[in-house]
Amino acid sequence: MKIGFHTIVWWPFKDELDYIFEVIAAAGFKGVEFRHLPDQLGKIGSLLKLLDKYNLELIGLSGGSLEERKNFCEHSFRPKYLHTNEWSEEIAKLATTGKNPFTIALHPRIFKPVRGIKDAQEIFKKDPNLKFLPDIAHLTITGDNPVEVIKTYKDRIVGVHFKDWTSEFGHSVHRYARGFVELGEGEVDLGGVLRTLRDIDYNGWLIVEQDWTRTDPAISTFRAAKWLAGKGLLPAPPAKIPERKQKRVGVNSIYEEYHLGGGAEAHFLEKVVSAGWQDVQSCYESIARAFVELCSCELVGLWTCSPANKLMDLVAVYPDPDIHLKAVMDYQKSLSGEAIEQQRIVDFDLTDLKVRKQFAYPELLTVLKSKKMVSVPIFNPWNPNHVRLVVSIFHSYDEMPVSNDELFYLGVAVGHSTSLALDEAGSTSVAKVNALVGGKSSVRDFAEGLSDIIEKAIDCEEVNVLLRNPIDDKFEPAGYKDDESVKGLEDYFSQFGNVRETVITPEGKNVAANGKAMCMNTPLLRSNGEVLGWVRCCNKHTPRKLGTSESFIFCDDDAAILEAIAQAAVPHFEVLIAQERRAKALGRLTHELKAPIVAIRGAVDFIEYNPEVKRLFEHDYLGDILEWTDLVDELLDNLDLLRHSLLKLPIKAKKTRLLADVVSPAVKQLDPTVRRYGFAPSRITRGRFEAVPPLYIDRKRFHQVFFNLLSNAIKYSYKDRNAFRIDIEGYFHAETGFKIVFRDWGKGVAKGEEKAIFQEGFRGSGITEEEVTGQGFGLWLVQQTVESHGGTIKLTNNLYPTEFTILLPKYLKFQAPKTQHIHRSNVS
Amino acid sequence: MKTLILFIDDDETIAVPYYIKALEMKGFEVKQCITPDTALEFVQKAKGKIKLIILDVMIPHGKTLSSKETNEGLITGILFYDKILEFCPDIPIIILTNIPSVDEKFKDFHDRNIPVHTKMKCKPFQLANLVISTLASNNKNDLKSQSDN
Repeated sequence: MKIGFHTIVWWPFKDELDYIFEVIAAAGFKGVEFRHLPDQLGKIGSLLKLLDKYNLELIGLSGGSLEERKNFCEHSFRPKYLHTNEWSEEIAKLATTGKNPFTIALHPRIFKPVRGIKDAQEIFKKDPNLKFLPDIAHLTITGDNPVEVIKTYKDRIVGVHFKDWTSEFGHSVHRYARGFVELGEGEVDLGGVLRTLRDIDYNGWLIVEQDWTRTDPAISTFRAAKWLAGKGLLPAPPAKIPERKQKRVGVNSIYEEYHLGGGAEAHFLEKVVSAGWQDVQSCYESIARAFVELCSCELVGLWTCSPANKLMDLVAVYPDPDIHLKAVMDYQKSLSGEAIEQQRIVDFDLTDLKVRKQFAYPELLTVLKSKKMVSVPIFNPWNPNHVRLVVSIFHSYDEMPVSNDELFYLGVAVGHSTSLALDEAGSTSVAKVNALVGGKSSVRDFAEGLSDIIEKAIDCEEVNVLLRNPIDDKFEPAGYKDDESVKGLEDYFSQFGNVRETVITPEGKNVAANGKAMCMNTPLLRSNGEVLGWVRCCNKHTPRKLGTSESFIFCDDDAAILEAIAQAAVPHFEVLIAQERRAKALGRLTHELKAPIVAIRGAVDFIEYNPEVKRLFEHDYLGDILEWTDLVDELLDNLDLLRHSLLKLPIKAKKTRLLADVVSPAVKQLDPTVRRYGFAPSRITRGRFEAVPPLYIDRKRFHQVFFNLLSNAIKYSYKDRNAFRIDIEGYFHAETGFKIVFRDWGKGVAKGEEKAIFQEGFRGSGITEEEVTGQGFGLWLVQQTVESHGGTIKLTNNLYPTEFTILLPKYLKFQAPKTQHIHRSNVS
Repeated sequence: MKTLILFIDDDETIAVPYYIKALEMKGFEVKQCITPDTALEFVQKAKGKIKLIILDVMIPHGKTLSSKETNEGLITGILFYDKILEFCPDIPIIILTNIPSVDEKFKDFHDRNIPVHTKMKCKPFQLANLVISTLASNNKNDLKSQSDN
């Protein structure tokens, strides 16, 4: 097996070929595969000579069209393979016919037309001779197992793209590329792949392809070599990395400081970076303006692209030509689109009739005096294969004041600038999403607020949020709006299954999309990859100043922002959905439990109403029954109301003597229960509470507090009348306020569970099945009540005794609590 | 002829039989319907004869109202209240529920001064007395409006 290196990581320094080869060779690699476009490499003969100088082989070419690469190789040189991201019979014919036939190797990626091994399999069936260039990171991202893929298709493999990737930035086509990292820092099964290649006796090329780097590409090259040396695949690289002969000023990566030197690039950066863009749109506008100033040209237009449907959208133009510009164009027909197709800077002669005919804005040409147009593609800084913007520069010079090379590097700077703006816009929106949840108690309210945030963030007209119904697995609008525009969507989204990317589609005919063409759909993805729902955005509108009211398409930047918002929203949805389900279940439970209580009271009512029957019963029994049903009713009321997220249970504070009005009645009420367990009621002792004056508290709620504490103590006691003991005391502490200490000598609380016992539904680890009763809300309710009165409750001792300490603020002596409701914590 | 009361509640076996028994002991005839569909059907058939309606909140939504509107039946009665009023605007309706009256679901009712009675606080014979006083008050209003005309 031979180890090679891919030039993609060197993209911003593409013209430093001599230095690139020097570093790659010094690191110990034996061959090079090129991301460079053929016309960036000079003549094949010169290239081979230069490679030879450093003892490097030319493995393959991946930049530019297949035909261009084939022609570049001329007659005397055959690369090991030429990589292709797509396949057709024409491509197969191109490879095998003519004077210079060559091997093509299919390279599946994360995006279409060949996504993952599933799409590749279908193509392999059509072409049994087609070779395979597996990229182990792309396979990992698409959910395939690179080890299994290599084993299955070992006979087709001519090369392996060896690289690492982290899922930290997500899986979508717009963000995944940020996840490419140096070998050993990601999640790809690198060791498994190497073992498998050894097991199948693979003797082809292993090419390290690091799509981008956070540092100097020379450092990354050497780090890769070092990792491979650690696996015994390369000799250890030298400690010193070859230095550049020529000092280079420019952008290394988005994480490093811009090295401002002189020249057009520095001037541009000063204009653009210091513009202080608030959002992506203002970034576009400042870029267009900066290019006009920099190039002293007549007009600059900025286009975004949608890879989904090959449409381009004009998002900024400076100065405004004050004519009606068509909103959307198919970039295969437009001149600017050629920059995407070719992925290079393209010059157009606007005086040439043939060129003018291709131009989609004839009105613009009549207004401008420009004789030439330059199209500059702007790449996603983390993915040089992905053109995100195109800058169209209109001028009348024979030679621009800025060279094509300078334009190229300006393009790199623009790529970084727009990414920074995108991050800014995304994180601002994400912050709004996180703030939104604070005031929202229902899925519907949250979805509505989320829709508002999205509409503003990406300037679209209509946003719908749909969530999966787990019962029938269909997607339904979040909330119960009878919305015409989302009718028929239940099945529509099911077709996308578990896609992990934004889908920009014209909606199907059977789906009402209010008459306009384009919708962008982004999945709401759970951390386990399951699709929780979809966010559907329709009909992006342009800023009015471009003078058009037509719908515009969504571009990758919109998709990236939307995805960031969707990722932020998922955890909040999960919590709200769980809460709503629990609330419904609780509502039903309390409703059902109340029916028998009402029946008991009804029976008591009949007894009371019939004097002859009543005579047979002692009055106390009837009174006790009514009191008990009252108590259970209050408990169920508390549960029923507290199932809502926000403040619900009003506090009715009045002057209350803790011992006489609260503690003692609770003890008395549990008297029958204590006796039933065989305990002596005298084993519950109460301190004198002398130092605790009457306090302004909700008497009923505090009665419940002590009722719950006592119930638990009885329930979780050792069933031994001599061991049973409860002690309640009250104090006043000048610094901390009023203190009530509740102690019992029961089974205690396990270490580590001191805070957890106050959580809803929590069961202590030492509790047996027989002891489990109720819903686990007792201590939670106690804490909610105490804290709503401005106090605290803590478990201050775990065992022998189990000790709870309640502190209440001093001001309760003079006034009611500051809050008016007993509340539960907000969603976090 | 006995005064006819319509009792809309899906509890047929536990607590509601006590209420119905108490009403019958006070001389009323009571018809129970367990869903909005059967209730509406009965109202249309027996319109004019029904003198008062007692309405629960958590009842099945039936076909008249959808599962989504009623939050799977949890607020059927609240939505159904206004629907009944469309059919019988002059018949008094007593809301009788297990849900605490301070629940935010009843905000609209509180704003409209529509009292919400909870079953825990309103025992069977208390309900019967409430029905008697409501009917009496309604008759007085009827007489008053007739004499005003």
